[in-house]
Amino acid sequence: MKYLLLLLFLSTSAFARVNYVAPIAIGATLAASAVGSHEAIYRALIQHELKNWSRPETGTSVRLENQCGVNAEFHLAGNSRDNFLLLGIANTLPNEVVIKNSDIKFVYDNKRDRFPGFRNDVSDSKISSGWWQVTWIPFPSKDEFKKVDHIKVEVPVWDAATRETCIISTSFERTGHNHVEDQSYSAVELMLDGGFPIGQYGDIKELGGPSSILAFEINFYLNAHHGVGVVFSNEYDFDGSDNPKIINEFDERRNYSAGISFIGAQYVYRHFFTQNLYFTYGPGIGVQFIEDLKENDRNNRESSTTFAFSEKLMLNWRFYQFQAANYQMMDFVTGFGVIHHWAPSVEVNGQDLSGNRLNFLFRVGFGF
Amino acid sequence: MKILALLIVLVACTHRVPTRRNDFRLIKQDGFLFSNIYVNPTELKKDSERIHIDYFVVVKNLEDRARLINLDGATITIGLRTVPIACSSHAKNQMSFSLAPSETMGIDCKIELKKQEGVFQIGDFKSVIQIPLEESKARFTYLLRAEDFE
Repeated sequence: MKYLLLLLFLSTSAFARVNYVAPIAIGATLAASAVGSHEAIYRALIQHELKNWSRPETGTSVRLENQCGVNAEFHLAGNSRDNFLLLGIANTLPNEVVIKNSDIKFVYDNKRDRFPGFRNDVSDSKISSGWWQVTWIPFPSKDEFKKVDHIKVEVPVWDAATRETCIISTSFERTGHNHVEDQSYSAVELMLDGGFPIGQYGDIKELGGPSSILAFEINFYLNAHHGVGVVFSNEYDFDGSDNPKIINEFDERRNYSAGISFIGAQYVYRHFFTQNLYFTYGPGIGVQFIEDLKENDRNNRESSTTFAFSEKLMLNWRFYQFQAANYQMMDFVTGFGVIHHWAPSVEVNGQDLSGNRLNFLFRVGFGF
Repeated sequence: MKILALLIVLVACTHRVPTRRNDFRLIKQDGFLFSNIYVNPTELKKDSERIHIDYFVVVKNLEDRARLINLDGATITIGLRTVPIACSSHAKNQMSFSLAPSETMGIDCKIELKKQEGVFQIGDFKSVIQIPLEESKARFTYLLRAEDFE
C-alpha cells in the first residue's frame, strides 16, 4: 500500500504541476505568438523551420531581399499549433524606418489575401539607422496553411525621411509534403481512463476479474506522430471488494483480495484520421505491484513487485477546442479502447499469478 | 513542492549557461547580401586535440550579372594568427561556383583549430572569419575563450 500511495502521490503531483504550469505555458504561448524582438526566441523558432518550403541551394526556407533601402531575411517556421513568418530587417538607411506589422499581408496561391493571426494588440516596429530587428509573424491558420503551395509576403516599411510607405515583397514555394510538419496537434496530453475487464489469460485467472480499472497517462509528443509518456493503472477489487464482509462471501478457495497497480514508461504512436479523430498505440514497460489480504486479514498483507509490459490502443475524438483571443489553446478529448497487461512471472502467497489481463477503457482528457 | 523547488535549484546550479560567441549579421557587401542567422551562437565542439566550428551563411547575388565566388581563400584570424578554413557551397559542395542574378546559395564552412594554436593564449579573442567574395571579403566575428584551448 505504501508503494501504491507513493505512486498515487507522484501521479497526482504530476497532474497538479501540469495544471499549475498550464497558465504559464498558455501565457508563454501567447507571448511567443505576438510580435517580439527577442533574438533568442527568433533563433529558437528557426530550429523549427518548415522543411516543406526549403530550397536545395540552401537547405532552408530563407529568402534574402534588399528593397526599400533595408536588408531583409524571411523564413517559414512552425510549432505544433502555428506557423510563423520569421522576419529580420537591418536598416541601412540614414534615417529611421517603421515596420507596419499589422499591415503585413500574405497572398496565398496568388488569389487569397490573408493578414497575420495576431492574438493581441501589435504596435509598429521602429528601427533606427544602422540597427536591426527580428520578429515573428503568425499565419492566421495552420490548417489552412497546409493547403497552400505559394505564398507572397508583403511588408510595408514607412520611411521617416520621405514619409512614404514602401513594400518589401518576397515569395515562397512549397517544395515538399511533410505531413508531420503540416499537422496541427497537441504537444502534451493528459488522459484519465476508466473501464472494466474483458479477459484474463494464464495463471492470473485464479485471481478472478477486477471490478474495474482506473488509468492515467501523460504523453509528450515530439511531433504529430511520435511521443513518450508515463502510464499508470490500478485494477482493484479482485474478488469483489476490500470490505472484509464482502470478501467473506466469496469462494473460500481464494481466501484473499488483491489490487494490481502498474506504472511504466511508454512510447506512443499517434495517427490522425482527421483533424479531430485519431488513434494512439502505446507499448510500455514498467513495474507491477500486487497487494493482497492474506487469510482475509486486513492487517496481514503481502505484496509482490515484478516487471510487466503494457500496451494501450485507443481511438480518440477531439470534441472541443478551448480558444482564447481567437487562438487554439487546449483540446478536450474523449475516446475508448483497450489496455493489455502482461506480467511474465509473478508469485504471491506461493501462488503463480503470471499472465495477461485485458481491459476495456473509456477516456477523457485534454491536451495543450 | 519543496522537492520540486529543490530539483529546480539543483538543475539551475548544475547547468552551465553557454557562452554566446556569434552575433547576428544581415549585411550587404560587394553586391551580395549575407546572413549568418543559422550559425548556432553558443555551440562549440571540442575534442582532446581540436576545436570544431560549423559556420553556415547564406548569400544572395544582388547584381544583374552572374558572379563567381571562390572560397579557396576563406580564413579565420585569431589574434595575429590566420588559419585557412574549408568552405564549400551547400548544394554542390563546390569551393568555386557561379551565382546567377538573384540566386541565393548556402555556404558551409568547417573550421578546425588545433588547441596548440592557442597554447600561448591567455585571454579571450574575437576571432574573425573571412569569406572571400568577388572583390572583397565578408567578415564575421566569433568569440573564442581562452579556456576553449585548454
